[in-house]
Amino acid sequence: MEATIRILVIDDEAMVRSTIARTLEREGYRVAHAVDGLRGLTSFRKEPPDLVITDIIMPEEEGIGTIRRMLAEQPETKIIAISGGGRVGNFDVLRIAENIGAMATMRKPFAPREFINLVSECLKKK
Amino acid sequence: MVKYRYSDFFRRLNWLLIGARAASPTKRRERLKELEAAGQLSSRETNLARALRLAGIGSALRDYRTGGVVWSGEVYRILGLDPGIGPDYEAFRRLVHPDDLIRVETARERAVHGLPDPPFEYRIIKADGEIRILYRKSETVFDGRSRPIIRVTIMQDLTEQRAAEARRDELERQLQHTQKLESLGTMAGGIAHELNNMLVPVIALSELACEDLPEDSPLRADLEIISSAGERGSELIQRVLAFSRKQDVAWKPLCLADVAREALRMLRPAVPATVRIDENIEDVPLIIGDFGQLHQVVVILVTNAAQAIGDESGRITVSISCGSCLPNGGTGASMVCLAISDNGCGMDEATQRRIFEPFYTTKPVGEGTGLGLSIAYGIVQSHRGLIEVRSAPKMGSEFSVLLPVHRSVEFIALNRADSEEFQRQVS
Repeated sequence: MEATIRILVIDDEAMVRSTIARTLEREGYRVAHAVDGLRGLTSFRKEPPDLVITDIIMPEEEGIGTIRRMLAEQPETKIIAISGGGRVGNFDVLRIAENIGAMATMRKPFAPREFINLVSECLKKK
Repeated sequence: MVKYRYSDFFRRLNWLLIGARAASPTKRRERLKELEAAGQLSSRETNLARALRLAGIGSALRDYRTGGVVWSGEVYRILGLDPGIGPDYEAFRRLVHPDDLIRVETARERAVHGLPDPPFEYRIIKADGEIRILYRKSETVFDGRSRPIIRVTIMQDLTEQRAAEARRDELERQLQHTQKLESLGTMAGGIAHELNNMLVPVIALSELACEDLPEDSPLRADLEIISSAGERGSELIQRVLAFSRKQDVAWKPLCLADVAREALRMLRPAVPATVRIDENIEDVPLIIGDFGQLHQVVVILVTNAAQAIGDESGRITVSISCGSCLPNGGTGASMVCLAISDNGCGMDEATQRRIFEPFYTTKPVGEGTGLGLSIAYGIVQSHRGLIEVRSAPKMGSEFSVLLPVHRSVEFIALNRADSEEFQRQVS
């Protein structure tokens, strides 16, 4: 249904990436994967997606830096930040992600319907 | 003969004898030397007594040859006895705590028989009912035939020292507990992150698979169980995270009574109809705290109280007062007390010692995470408060949370009172 819409999923956990991909593909989205922020940025530059879904706590390049770089390069980028821990020390990483420009956030684990609705809402936003 | 003391050119004290019978110059010199020595001895005794008094050490001297006993002034002071009565073993004996009397008398008997008499501590109950802890050490002097001649005993009041040690031990215990919670929190945070990732496919894929199956497929029920187990796991992780993180708190002046009323409004429908909740909420000064966190404390304590009552009919009383239920008669004026009591199953001492430990639970497997009270403990600590429990098996429990009235709130109240008084005087 949404064959032209491309979503980039960045998460170091393979099972999370594949679950998100399956959930999105069922809805007709085209999904690209990346295992960390660095590879995510490469994919982002090569073929800018309509939406980025990125984890925050990752090895190599974490999500906050990734969001900053993407927004610096493409300020209109729509980004959903996701996290399983939600916090590093005393900092709420999802709140930080929102403060630096992520369009929405979601804590892992999530119900697939809730997740699809959020993706759909973000894509509709200008 | 009359003796006078005078100070010589070198400011030394000397004795002047008037009316003494004429004696030979040699004898007179010897006599003067004796008196000088006696004077110096007396001065040393005075200084020694002064030093012992300053150190708070009393001394008792018993001469077995004459049966004479001398107590220093400090002994009378420590025991709270009138020095006018003189050394009175029976008066001393009456003060000794009944549980320590055998030890005191045994030590005395051993000393009389020349047996080793190691130092020890014992308690006395003074006339006003105050219990003091005394330290006793003695030394016996023997003659050439190993018979005791003199026994010197020292007595020292260690009550304050022991109380300070107990306070230090308590603080150390609290510090260890806090450190334990912090390290468990760090570990729990790390594990929670990993588990949340693992639960993504468990919850999402079981739900997606379920959607793909026909309505009457028997596999649907299995997938629903998987999904529901995943959600329960996720809830547990949220609790662990809530426990582990130092939450961002919104410190504001608030009324603990409002917090309790709000929490009770939410809790009433959830508590079984057989459990009555009584409110005894007084007007109390404002405190500085986080509404949400303190709300959580009330919810945890009332929920636990209801669970302690179980299916039986019972009563929970939620009280808020100012300084009326403080431990050890502490400073009540600047504390607000929340007390939640129930007439449920109660707890033995061993359980009470462990209830604030994370993951400790007495509830059946699957019915409790053992985190509620440790979360409450952490919240109360972060509010610089105290949480205490009084309980006995089958006698119910009472949890008391003491929170300090913030100084600025006291200051405002004081200023308001001053201002009102000022207005009255002016008008």
